Amino acid sequence: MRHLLLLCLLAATLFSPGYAHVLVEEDSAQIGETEIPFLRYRDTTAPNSKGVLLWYEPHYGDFKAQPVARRLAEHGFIVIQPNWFEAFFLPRSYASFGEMDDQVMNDFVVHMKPNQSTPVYLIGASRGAVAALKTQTSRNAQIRGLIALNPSIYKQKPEPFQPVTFVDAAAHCSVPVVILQPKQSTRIWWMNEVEKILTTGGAKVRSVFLENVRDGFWQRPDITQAEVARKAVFHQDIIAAINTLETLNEE
Amino acid sequence: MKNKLLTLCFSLALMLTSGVASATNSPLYGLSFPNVDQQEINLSQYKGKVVLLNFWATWCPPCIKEMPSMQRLQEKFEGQDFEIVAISAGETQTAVESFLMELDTELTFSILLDEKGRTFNEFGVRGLPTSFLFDRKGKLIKVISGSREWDEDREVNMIEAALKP
Repeated sequence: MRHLLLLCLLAATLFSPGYAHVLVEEDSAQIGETEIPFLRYRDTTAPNSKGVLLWYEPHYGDFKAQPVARRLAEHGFIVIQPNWFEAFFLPRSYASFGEMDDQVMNDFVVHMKPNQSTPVYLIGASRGAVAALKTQTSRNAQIRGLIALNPSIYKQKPEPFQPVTFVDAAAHCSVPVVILQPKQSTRIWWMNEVEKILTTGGAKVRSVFLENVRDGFWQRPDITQAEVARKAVFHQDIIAAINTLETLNEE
Repeated sequence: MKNKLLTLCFSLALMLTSGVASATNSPLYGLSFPNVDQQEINLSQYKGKVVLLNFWATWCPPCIKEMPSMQRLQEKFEGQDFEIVAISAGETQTAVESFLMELDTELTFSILLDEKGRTFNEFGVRGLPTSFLFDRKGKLIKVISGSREWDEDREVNMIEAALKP
């Protein structure tokens, strides 16, 4: 089944003119007793990569190749998309991120770093930001920053009129963070508390609002025309966020 | 006997006081927003009525989906002490007005505009749609997260129970 999927991905890659040099491979890494399946996107013609992007998916949707990740690979990045749910035999649910083994996730980041000089960035989408926050503590990987896409980093689902609590890792974030937050979302009204908790551990945080799009627009089945247009250039938003992270690192 | 009477009086006083307090301090009655015709609507005018307060946005598909059934619910309780108030938060009057013009169902309940979205923070709304059911005294009796078919038995029974004296 895996070979068939790989074949399909290869065929799709070969016959897609937009991604002529981008290869999407299915692979896995063995960290202790845990096998972590992942997708790797890379430009086969690029001599050196600009960096490794570890893309952590949300709990909703299917685990599949992301067109935005392909675009990033076209621009010289190696994108690694691990399937944490399969690795830890967990259901794709809101609560599952809290049950993932931090140490295995940290070791995975180090394992995927090709060499010492290659910068590593994390991308966490929605609840995937929880996984990203857990791995940013991986000192050995020297992570250059985290890009949080409409992050959901609460410990439990928030309820009206009830105080919220954040996952512990949120208050221990020390790498720079850029939040890319669609404006058509209730999350825009709660950005202050998210920024505040992330800065508790010393992280520098910048928020960028994306007009006329909803949370997770790049993978929504009910995508609007405005979202189609933004999705086509979303990789540029992410590259701009990487540049911001580098600026924050230099400050 | 004297002690029991004292306890009874004290409990009665406490009940009455808390009832007054919940009505006075109700988050509902402090709200005041313009409707799509730019008329200011103060929700304290609904004192004595059961109110279904709904938060929605034009970009939220489940919010739009539940609108027709909300209209049918409004019609079902026509003439009774029941009001539906839908607050569009964070959107302009033009956006909401354009949306309503395109809608196939004519909505007769109040649509109010909270352009700055302050109610999201005040009510702790973190997802859409979210609805709050208040009793006649302005006391919150139910929080409903997600969309509903508002004219189905479960929802109708909920409103009927709230309307009972």
